[in-house]
Amino acid sequence: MTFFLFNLLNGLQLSMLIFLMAIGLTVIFGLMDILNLAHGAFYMIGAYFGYVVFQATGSFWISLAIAPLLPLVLGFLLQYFVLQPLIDRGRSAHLDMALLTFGLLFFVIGLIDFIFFETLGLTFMSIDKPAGLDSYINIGTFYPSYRLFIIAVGFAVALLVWVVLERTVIGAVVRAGVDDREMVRAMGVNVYFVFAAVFALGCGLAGLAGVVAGAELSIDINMGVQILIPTLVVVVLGGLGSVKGCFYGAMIVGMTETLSQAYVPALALFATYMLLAAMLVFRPQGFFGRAPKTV
Amino acid sequence: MSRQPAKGRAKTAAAKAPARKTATSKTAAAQETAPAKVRPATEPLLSVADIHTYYGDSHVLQGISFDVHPGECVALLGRNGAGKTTTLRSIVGLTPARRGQIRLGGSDIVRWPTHRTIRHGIGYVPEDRGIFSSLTVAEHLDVALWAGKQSASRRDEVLKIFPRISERMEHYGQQLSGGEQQMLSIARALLTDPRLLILDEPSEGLAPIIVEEVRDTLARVKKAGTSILLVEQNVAMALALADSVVVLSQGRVQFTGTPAELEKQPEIKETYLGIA
Repeated sequence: MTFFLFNLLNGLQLSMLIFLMAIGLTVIFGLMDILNLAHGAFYMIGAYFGYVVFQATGSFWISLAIAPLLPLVLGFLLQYFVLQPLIDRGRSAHLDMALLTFGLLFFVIGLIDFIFFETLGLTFMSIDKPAGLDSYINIGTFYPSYRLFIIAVGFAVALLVWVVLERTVIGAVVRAGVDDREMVRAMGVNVYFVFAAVFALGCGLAGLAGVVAGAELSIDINMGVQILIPTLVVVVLGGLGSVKGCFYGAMIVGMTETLSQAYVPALALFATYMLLAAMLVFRPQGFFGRAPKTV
Repeated sequence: MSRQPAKGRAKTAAAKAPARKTATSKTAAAQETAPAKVRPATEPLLSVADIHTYYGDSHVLQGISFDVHPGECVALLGRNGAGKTTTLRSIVGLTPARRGQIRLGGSDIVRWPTHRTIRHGIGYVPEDRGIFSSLTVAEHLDVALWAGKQSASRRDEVLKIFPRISERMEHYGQQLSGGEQQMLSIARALLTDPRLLILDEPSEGLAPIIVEEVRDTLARVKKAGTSILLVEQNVAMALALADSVVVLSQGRVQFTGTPAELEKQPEIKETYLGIA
């Protein structure tokens, strides 16, 4: 029972980390129809910049507050000055965007590698856990308190995003944009700004996930690609643009990865991909995906 | 793009377009001499001058010109594919015109992005009504208020015109009937307090009794002083509301005049509207 509880919490922790990544990606994809494969790069930028801020200040909390701002600003600039002008010129096909953003991911990987490894000689780094979250809590078994913190952050962000999207005017604008972008423009909304703001927030959340992960996992050059694959699986499972779908999708992927590793290790490598394949065959729009557009 | 002098802009739209050996030029020439066809002395609220719009290489609008004056209702009529919807989309910037001039309240808006044009005083009701399936009625109104930077009191004013909408505030767009969706679409457009309300086929797909309701609503909107530009297949409804009629065919203006003048031109009605 203790072993099961331990793995259940681990699965929950991984689920929340993936959720922080996937929520931005699913809203960006659902709203703007942009397949942003550079999302992993913003996760990396958050983690590495978080490390830099932590080294400069010695405070995890300052790092957590400041580091997501860099991917947030970069995300805004990328959408407003690079992606949107390309879309306006007719280069908005999924393949165009996937190639561009995938290239950008590897550019960021190369740049970070040049700065941190080639220049500074750093390979595997991490941010120190803050006081109070660097110990273990007895819940029938000794469980790392920082992992509980990750679970709490994930739930808090899920609740915040849900409140913003479902209970505010800005959220209604975003949902309306997912339904019919053109009509939102025809209501007098500057969708370019809304798109850039949503893109930026998605990138900021990826950066937040990077900082949070940087204190639990190692910060290394492969982290952006490693997290991107389960994130994309979550987006497909949950359905594009659905916060609820993203949450449940992240829970399924996180739990499947963790529990399969614990109980059926032979399945661990491909259990998630079996789920993905089954979803694409039987319900390609995902659990909570729907035919968008106006009625 | 050179700006026309004010005096020139106040002329009839047909007079601004290049002379063509079509029914347009003949009809327009006849209008110039008829006392009943004198336009209001005011500056046009909307002035569309010789616009050309393309879908890819397809030259859809080939020099459309007309004016809408303050408080006036102008009906754009024509068969399917005449260019009516494209004209509206060009005005609001959803399908921008490549050439020509569109002035709204004195500003040249032809190169403006859609949101800027809308904020300059246009309410737009699209052909498919543009109701969001994932938003409640209340959220539709909230978004329109937010986009138009209007206060909640504006919502109360508009809802007085649409009592049925106020009874359905918590319903989602997809749960409304066709008539309710149309009313919501018009209410949403009015929430921004537009100077010009543009409607594309507001009676399409509605039961006759609902069409009457829509017509009466638009009549009240017009009476309140809002200018209306109406695209409509229901010619009877359009003529009942319109002060001025523009008949389009194949992307060109074929007739400009009052409903009474159109009644006197059976060949125009038959050729371009398919009615005797």
